[in-house]
Amino acid sequence: MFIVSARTGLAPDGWPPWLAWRAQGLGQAGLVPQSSPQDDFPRAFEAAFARLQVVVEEAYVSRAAWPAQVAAAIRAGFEFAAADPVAANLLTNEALARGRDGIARYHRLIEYAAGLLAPGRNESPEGALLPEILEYAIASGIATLVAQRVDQGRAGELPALIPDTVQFALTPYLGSGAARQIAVEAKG
Amino acid sequence: MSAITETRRDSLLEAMVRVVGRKGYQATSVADVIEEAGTSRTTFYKHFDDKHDCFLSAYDMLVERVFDTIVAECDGEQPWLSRVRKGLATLIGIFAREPELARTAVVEVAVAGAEARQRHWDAVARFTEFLEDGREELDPGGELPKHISVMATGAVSGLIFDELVAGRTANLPSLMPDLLFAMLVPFIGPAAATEEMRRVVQAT
Repeated sequence: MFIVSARTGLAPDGWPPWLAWRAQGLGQAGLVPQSSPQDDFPRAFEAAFARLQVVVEEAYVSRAAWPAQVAAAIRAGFEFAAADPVAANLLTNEALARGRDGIARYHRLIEYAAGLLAPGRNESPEGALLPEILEYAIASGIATLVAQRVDQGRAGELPALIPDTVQFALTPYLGSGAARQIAVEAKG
Repeated sequence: MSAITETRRDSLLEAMVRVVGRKGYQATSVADVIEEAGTSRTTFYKHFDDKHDCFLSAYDMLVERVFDTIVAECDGEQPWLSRVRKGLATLIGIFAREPELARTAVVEVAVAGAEARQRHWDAVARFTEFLEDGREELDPGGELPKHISVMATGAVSGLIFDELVAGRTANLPSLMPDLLFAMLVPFIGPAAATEEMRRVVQAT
């Protein structure tokens, strides 16, 4: 989970307080991933998550500016899901269907994506005023789109949705105009 | 269907929503639902093939009830921002008052199999239609992303999902400003969404 954290400097200690708060709440609810030797799901989830992290991280660090990093990461994630909808389904729909253990793993996925978005606060004049839940909300919104398309057998449509998703992810930080500009560039 | 038969069926559906919200879908049995409804096994199987069949009907019923309430609370003549604010507040209010319904609608539906998930996506589509009603009003130039409503709905439902699984259902109304921001910001940008968030904070 922390492969990207180490490379980007988003170490867990440096994450926004809300991440720790959310994690605490989930921990109190008993939502800590547990492995079971009788169940292949944990291993399959972790393998898919690791593969996703590799492609997302490579894309993210290939760009210098944060908006371009986010656009590249979204492209990598969506192309991953389109190429391997079984893995994408495992990371989203299947995880949420697995009860506490699956939900805990799904939360790690969302927190990972949220960690990539958090530097956007430094790009925004209103960064300090943005609600603490913002990154989690954006990541959840994107994950919902992926889960829906994958569940309906339409994962192949995801690459065409990259510009819309980039604009969705960047608008809260950059405003509509600047986010739209990056989204237009992401079409290429 | 006679009125009594319909009432018995509705009682079973209501019972299913409550029991699943309390125990979880997997742990819920037909016997639990029968006991909760105060009816007989014969009555249950007169209306439903099995637990799953009953759950799907119960989910449909709860979605209709939630939407009917939201539509009744929202004045279609009001500006888009007002309708969204009122609609979201209504949804949060229902979930806070009925935590078992909330958990069944948002959390347990994911556990109940592919058919249930499809019904969930249908419900998401109805919420997105509700949001899409504002597209022309907000975006005469057609510059808003086409799929923004699905992601905005997912953003809010993800936050609600977390509160429910963390056992913080009663906390939902206090999250209204944040939830409203998350829903609005892709449509109206951060400055206007922050202003709306402040307005809600001041009003509460």
